[in-house]
Amino acid sequence: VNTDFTYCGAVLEDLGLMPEGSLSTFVVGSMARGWASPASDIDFVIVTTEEFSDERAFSLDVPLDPPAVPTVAFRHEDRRWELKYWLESQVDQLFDKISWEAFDQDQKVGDRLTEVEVVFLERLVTCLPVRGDDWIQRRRDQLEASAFRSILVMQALTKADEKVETALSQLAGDDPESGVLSARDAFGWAMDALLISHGEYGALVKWRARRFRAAAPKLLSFEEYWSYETMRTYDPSKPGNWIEAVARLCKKVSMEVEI
Amino acid sequence: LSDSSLNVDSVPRVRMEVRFRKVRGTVLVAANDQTLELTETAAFSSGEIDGVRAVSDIGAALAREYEIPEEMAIDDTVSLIADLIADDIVELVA
Repeated sequence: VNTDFTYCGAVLEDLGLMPEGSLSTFVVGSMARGWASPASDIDFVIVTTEEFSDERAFSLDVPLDPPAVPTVAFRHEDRRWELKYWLESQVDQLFDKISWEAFDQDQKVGDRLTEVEVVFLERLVTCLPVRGDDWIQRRRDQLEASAFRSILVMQALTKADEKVETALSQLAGDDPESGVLSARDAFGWAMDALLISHGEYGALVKWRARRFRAAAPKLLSFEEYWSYETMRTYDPSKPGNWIEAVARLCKKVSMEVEI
Repeated sequence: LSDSSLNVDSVPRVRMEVRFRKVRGTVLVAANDQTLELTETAAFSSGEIDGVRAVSDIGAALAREYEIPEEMAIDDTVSLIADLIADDIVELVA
């Protein structure tokens, strides 16, 4: 697996997509983690001090000032490249949102972070540098000292609790099929809480098994995790047993996971 | 099963509607619109409650973890479970 993306800087310069004075450029997502398939995009983040403007760019909305992240996508050597241009000042605002002060004032602060914002922060942890290693390390340290992990863990545990209550209510209301689906949701949120508490971010279900292997939590073996994930012990004649087992697992996670 | 039937062979289970959070080392339990803070040993014992093991098993685990006499640990566990039942946090399944 190629983990050296420094050559990409010259490609972006040739295409006029590397602004002068950019602070850092890095590869994020599946490519950076070594989880990419031949069809995977290569996703970049470029951090600048001046707003990036280009006729090839479209905008992603963010609740920041300015309220947009310019994005450019193109194909290069049979692979889709996607670039997101974040301003340093937007990153500063984002870190203000995930301070311990913000979390202590409102433990549901995670509900106000948008997906674009969360994904940016999550991917800082596992990104690979093209340029600007110092910037990445400084921001990683800042992220580790922030309340980001606790914010996401709290959010995931709350969702897990809510889904467990829904599942049990549906089971009690003679709607076990809906209860099973809610229990699956609850399980997913509980696993997210567990994995995030180990620093394994990312909400996409397709990576959960890989994240689980990477985190290797003591609370649950991979075999146990995979048994729930694939519903191996589910008995269609007794759906309540599986729902209750998931509910107990979620409870165990919420008792063990540190916020 | 009620609190009055609690003994060392009883099997406790955490009620499904109870919520736990471990916040910076402190275990909080929310039930019936009240939030309780568990001591370290109560948190340990609560974590051992799984709806399968008996009170005596939980007490034995407590004794091993904190290196205290097993008899004392089981007595403490019975008291803890009684309190948790009174607070609607735990119920007996056997």
